[in-house]
Amino acid sequence: MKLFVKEKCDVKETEVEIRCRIRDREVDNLITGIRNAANTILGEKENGDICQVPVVRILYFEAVEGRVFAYLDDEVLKIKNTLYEVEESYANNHFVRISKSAVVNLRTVTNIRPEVGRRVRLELRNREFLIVSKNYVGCLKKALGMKEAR
Amino acid sequence: MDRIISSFRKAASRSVWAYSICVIILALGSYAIGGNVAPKNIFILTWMYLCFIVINTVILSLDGIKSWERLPYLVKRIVAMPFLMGVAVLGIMNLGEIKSNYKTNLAITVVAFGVVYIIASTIGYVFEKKQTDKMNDALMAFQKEIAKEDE
Repeated sequence: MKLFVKEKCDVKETEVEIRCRIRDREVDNLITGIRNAANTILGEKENGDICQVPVVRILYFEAVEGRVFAYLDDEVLKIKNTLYEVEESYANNHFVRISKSAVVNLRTVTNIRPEVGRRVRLELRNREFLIVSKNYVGCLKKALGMKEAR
Repeated sequence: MDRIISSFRKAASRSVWAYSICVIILALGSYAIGGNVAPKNIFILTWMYLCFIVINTVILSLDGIKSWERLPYLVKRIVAMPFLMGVAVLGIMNLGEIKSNYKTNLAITVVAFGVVYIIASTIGYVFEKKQTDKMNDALMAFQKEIAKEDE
C-alpha cells in the first residue's frame, strides 16, 4: 500500500481519497480507521482510565451537575468539553440539542413518540429514551430537514 | 428543589391565564343573568386554581423520574385525572350551590368531567401522534441519507 500526503493551501477541509483495485476488507478497515481518527473524543471512564472513542459510537451527551457525560451503548464517559462546545463541534456529525442538558446523536434514534406537554420522546437503539423539551422540538425538526427553527 | 421551583413556575404560568378566563366568564355570566359575582364563587375559583397549580407542580416534578417518564402519554394523563377531577368536581358542585339531587348531580359532573377529559386527552394524543409520525418519516429519510453518505 502506498501512502501520499499532499498539502494544498486552497483546500478548506482535509480530504482523503482511497484508490484501490477492489474494495476489500483492508480498504474497509482503512475507511473505518480514517473515520475514527477524524472524529474521536477523549473521555474518562468510571475507573479513571482515559480513552478515545469515535463520536459515532456516542448515543448522547448529558450535563449532570455541571459535568458533561457521553453515553455509549455499554459505558459512560466523563468528558471535559461543555455541552455548548459539544453541540457546536458535532453538529456536522448529526448531533442535535434536545434540552438544556442533552445533545443526542440522531443516528442512534430509532423512534419518536408524543409526550405530554407538547414535548416528544426519542427512543434510542439501546432502548433508552430521552425527552425533547418543548423549546427544542423546532431544532429537532430542523435537524431532520422538516422546517426552519424559530 | 430547583426542579420543584421550575415546575411551580410552569404550572403557575399555565393556570394563571385559565384562571383569568374563568373569572371573565363568571363575570359575564353574572352580568347576563343580571346579578353580581358572589365573592364566594371567586374564592372557590381561586381555591380550585391554587389546587391545580399544586397538582400540576407535583406532576411536572415527576418528569425527572425515569419510571414516570417511561409511562405512555395516555397513561400519564389518566394517572393525573382523579386529582384534577376531585378538585374540579368539588369546585363545580360548590360554585353552582347544588343542593337538590346532590348525588345525581355529583355523578353527572364526575361522568361529564371524565368523558371531556378523556376525549380532550385522546384528541391531544392523536394530534401529537400525527406530528411525531411526520417526524418519524423525516427521521427514516434522514437516516437513509446518512447511510448513503457513509457508503
